[in-house]
Amino acid sequence: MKVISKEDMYGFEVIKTLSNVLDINENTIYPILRRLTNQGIFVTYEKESDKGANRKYYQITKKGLNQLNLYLDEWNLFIKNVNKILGDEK
Amino acid sequence: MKKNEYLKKLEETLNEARVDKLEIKSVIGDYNELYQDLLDNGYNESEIISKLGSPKNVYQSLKRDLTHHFIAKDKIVGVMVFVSIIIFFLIGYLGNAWEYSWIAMLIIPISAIVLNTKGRQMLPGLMVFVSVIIYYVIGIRFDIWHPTWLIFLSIPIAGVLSGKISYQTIIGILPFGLLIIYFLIAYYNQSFYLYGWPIFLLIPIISLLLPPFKRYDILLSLVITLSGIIYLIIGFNLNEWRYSLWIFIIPIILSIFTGHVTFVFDEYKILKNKKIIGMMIITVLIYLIASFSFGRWDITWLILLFIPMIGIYHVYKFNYLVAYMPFVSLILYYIFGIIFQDGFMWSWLFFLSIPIFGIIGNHKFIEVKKNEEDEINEIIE
Repeated sequence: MKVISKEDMYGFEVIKTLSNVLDINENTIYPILRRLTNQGIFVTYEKESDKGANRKYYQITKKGLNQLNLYLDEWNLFIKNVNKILGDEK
Repeated sequence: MKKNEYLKKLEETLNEARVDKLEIKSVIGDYNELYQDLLDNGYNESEIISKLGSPKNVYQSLKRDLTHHFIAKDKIVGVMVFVSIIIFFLIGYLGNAWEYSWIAMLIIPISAIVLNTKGRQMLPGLMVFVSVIIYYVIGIRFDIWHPTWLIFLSIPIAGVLSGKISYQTIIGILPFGLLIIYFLIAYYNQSFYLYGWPIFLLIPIISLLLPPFKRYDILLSLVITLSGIIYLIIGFNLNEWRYSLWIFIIPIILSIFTGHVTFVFDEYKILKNKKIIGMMIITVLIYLIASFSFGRWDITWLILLFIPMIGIYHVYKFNYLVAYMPFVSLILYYIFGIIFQDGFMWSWLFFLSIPIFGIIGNHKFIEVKKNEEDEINEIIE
């Protein structure tokens, strides 16, 4: 969600971006993209690629942005608390 | 697997799972794009398939979000329940034929098979019910249970025909086809039980004449054919069927020399176990003593069937009872057939114990690989 919120991306672009930092395979990411699209987090549109064929692009929706912010808040709070615990242990 | 082949298989998998047509189109479009992008980025076909997953895995990971259309076909099967009950009572009351009316209930599984399987795949399932109906109706109406039971052999034949048709199909059908011919002829001419069994030699003869060809195939098939002919000539002319069997030692030895018959010698180290060897020797001694004492060589050979059973016990103990059943049923078939008048007419039923024990004794659990869906859910959550 975060990756697509920065710019609209096509499937392989998302996979390539994520697999640079995470050990994750194509057959895991594509179903997630599909599920999030079904949930209204993304919308898709087609655009012609430089090779001539049409590509499906994923774009985050307003609902998706709200959801993303919610997840980010939860994540930041979680990390903050984890760091707090780790800091106390030191 | 090339791109088009992969996409075709994926489409077939989704179709078989009755996924909504529009969604299939969308998934195929997406995977076409993904596949092409991976190709453009220098991945080869096998790397791409391992990255995308097999068509079945793709379906497994997507199925939670796909729309399936089960309703129409399930509704038809549901309606068939009522239809069959109505027919059951109609035949029973109006035709006063309650002994036949239960057959109407078979409409339910038959309709389920017809609606849920495609083409030749429905053959084995259908043949089970068709055989039961034919067997029962002919049995009840004309009291001809034997050889009507042969209709059940159409089930494995249908099973073979439901697969990919090749030369192997002929070899697969042959034993059952010959069994039907053998029992049918023997039904009208009892002595055919004695001299008719060489028709089963057609199994190795025809198998040898079909591809893939090996060296000496034609020679061996010729020798088997000649042995069969000589066996029959000696048997008919000298009325000596027992000793004429020795003629078959020639094709057996030849097939060992040509490599058509190979022995995996003592794979389970049976011959190193003194207790097992002792039991096998005792079995042979019992066989010889019983044969010489009573002179019933036609029955005592059954004792020798305990030798393979001792070997099975050494390897599997009693964990796989089905492994013993071919020997046990053969012993019971033969003894029952000899002791009782017309015993062979019924004793074939003992052979049904083989598939029965096969079903009851199947304790092997299939290890199911963890679904990729779980992985996706974990990531999303």
